[in-house]
Amino acid sequence: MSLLRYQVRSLMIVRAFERGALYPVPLDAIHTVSYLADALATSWRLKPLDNAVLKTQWVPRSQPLQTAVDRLTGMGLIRATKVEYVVRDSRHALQAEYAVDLDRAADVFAVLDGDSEWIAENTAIGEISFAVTAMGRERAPRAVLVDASYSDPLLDNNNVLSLSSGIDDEPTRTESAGRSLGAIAKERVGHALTPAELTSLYVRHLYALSGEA
Amino acid sequence: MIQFPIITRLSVNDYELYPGTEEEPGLQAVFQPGLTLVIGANGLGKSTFVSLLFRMLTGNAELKNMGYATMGSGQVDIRSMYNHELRTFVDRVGDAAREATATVEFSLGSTVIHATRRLATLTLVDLVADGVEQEPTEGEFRAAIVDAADLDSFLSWFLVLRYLVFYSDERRSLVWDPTAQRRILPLLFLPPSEIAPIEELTERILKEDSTVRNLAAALKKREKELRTQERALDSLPEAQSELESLREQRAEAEERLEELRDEFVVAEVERSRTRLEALRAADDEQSVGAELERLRLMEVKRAFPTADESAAYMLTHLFAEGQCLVCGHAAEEAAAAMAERLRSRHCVVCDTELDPADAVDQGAADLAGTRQRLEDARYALADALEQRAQADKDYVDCISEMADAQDRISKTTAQVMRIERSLPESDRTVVKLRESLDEIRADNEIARQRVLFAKERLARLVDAQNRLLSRYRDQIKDGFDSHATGFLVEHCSLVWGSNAEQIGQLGRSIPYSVFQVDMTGGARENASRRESASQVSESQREFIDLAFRMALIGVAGEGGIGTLVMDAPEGSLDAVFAPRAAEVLTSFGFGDGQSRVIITSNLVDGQLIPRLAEKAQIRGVEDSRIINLFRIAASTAAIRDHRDEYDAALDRAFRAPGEDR
Repeated sequence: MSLLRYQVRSLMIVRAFERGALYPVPLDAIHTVSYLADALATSWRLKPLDNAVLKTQWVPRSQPLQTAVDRLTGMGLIRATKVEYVVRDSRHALQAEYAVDLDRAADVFAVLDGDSEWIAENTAIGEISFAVTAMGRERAPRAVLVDASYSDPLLDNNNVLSLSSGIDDEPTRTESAGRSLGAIAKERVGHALTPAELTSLYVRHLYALSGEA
Repeated sequence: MIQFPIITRLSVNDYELYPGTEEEPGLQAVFQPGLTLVIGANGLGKSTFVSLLFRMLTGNAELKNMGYATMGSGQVDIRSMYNHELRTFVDRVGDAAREATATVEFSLGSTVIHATRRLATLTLVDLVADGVEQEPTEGEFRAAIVDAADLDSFLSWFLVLRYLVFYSDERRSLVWDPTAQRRILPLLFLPPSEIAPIEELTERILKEDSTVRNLAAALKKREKELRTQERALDSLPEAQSELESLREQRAEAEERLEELRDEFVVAEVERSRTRLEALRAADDEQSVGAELERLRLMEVKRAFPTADESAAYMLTHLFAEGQCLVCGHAAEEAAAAMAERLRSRHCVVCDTELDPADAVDQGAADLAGTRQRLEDARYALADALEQRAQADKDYVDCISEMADAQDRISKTTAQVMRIERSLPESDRTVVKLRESLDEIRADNEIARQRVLFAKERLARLVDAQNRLLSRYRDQIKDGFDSHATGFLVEHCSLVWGSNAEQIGQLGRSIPYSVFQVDMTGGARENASRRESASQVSESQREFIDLAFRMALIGVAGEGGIGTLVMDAPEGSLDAVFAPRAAEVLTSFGFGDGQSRVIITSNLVDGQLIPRLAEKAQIRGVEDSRIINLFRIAASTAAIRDHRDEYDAALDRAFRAPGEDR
């Protein structure tokens, strides 16, 4: 997957948070949204960017996504603040918050917004980011940790979590869980939920779980 | 939860290998809580002691369909020992062990069992359960055990003994054998009602899978017959020749498909391994990169306390990673020049000499070390990514080639059928053969579908079983940590992972949850997956397995108690690890006050025996927790000729700490 694809996704995510309460957007939230977009890729008819992630006790960090964020900072399209490095389990990790420079990035967004190829991904990213924003600063970082795929008890830390077999469109556990919630909701509202509604419902479910976790 | 055996007594009488002494003939052992040490030399019957104890608990049962080193994926069952296997105890003595008997006493929960067997044949001569005399038959013995141990079958009992309780000279490992784990973990933690449907379905799949293969063989045979018959027909030689050629093409494609299925299993495993390695390498690289960036950021912030954070972020990257975030190019020279300005207390941008108060402590050693680690992490990542790319390619190529082969088979089959139909049916034999071929093909397809359907069901049942087992995951991991930490210098942990096992040859593999081992060491800074015993040293292999067994007994055993019998641990231990091994072995024996650890050892110099004795507070060779084979067993020529040297060595081994050695 090219660096450009990751840069586009990073820009989409940072912009999606722009008008919400979680802005400038913490780095973990960027990785969280990207992870959820991959975990829900089939529902949104997207191709996952990272179809395999290393399960740890933290939010999974995609190395190419991080490189993209760094490059965008260097190019001046996004700004970094509150840069610091934390030590978790004897391992160092970057923490920072990011804001988009809408003027500098205007040309890029003009292309993305006018290209039908990007619209589905942009919509998905927008919906997921919106739902994650609603979780609030405290619980948002825990969203991934209670996600159906990431928290699968059959998969211990330090194992590969596959989000796509690469062969078929088999739903991930995240999607299966979302669809189960959708089926219950359908009984109540009388119609099938849109991907956006399903996403929102699923992330709200993560909000509830993250409170119990 | 099951009841592990607590072995309390063993008595061996009229066996020439263990004549005993005048005051106490034979071998009379009482196993007290904690450690019992069986001490001897080559030829005195240490391994025979372990084997005898094992056979007292299993009778003449043995596993059939057992792999050599690992369990093997076929259906495992119990069989009777062959005559030559029964000669183990007979061949050690001159009188064919005609009169020799042994009695074992052990408890399973509140049930106490006494069993006496003839050593020559292992037949039961006496059986008492809870003080009540029973018919001395294997049936009664097995039923009493299965009932008291809370197990589903005697096969389970046998597996528990072989893989958990006894660590004999055969060194059969559990932690490195995923197939053994997939059979043993359920029987330790799940009720028989959960295990039975999976066992039955697995057995059915294996049987039906075998039927499919037989039908495929019958199909090939009939096709060959048909070809012979058709060649005999004079008519339409061109059509016959085309038919022949198509059938050959189809046979080649079928053969290739079979090969590819095997290759696919290997490619899938390699792809999983390289994916994990690549992700871990990327994680390591990110972590070390962040560490270096942190050091550089501290410098930049000290030099530019008012700098915009994004500017600091960019400079940090430039210094740490040698990459310009503005244009994306490598900028090692610019980075070096700027770093030099920082080091010489000049402004990075304008080169003005700074006030000494603004001096930057670069922690040069830290930086150099971290930079080197980052370099290493990058090489490791590049290597892991290359391996992953190759494994992905092999995997995709394999899938694509399988699809091609399948396509060739379908096309040639359709062509063959078209030509067959166009051939004259004047020859009755040919007509009959074609009909019979069609029938076998239909039967084969039905049987195939049945297997595939059953495998889907099995996958669902196994998934549910995996989830039930996962409830015990953390307890087992904690138990393992507490035992393994005492022995290993490297950091070693259990990881709850998945092993895709192919049941039969048809359909997809089934993912069974099993434990795997991650351990630091070698060239890698961080832990890496050790998928087989060959990836660790011999002593690590043994003690990792032992720690795993202890953890399982601790969690699965009612009250966390059990017995562990280990033959000759000293063989794989060097001077540093012998005391550590003593620590681990005795920790199991004394943890709860009831468990038993029975260890046989050669009388060797070194720390193992003295440390075991010290930890167990054994004060001398006369202690009842020492089974002294020098005194009990028939002397070998070496013992007779060097008795004094052995006595001196024995004295040294059990001298109290602090006394002269």
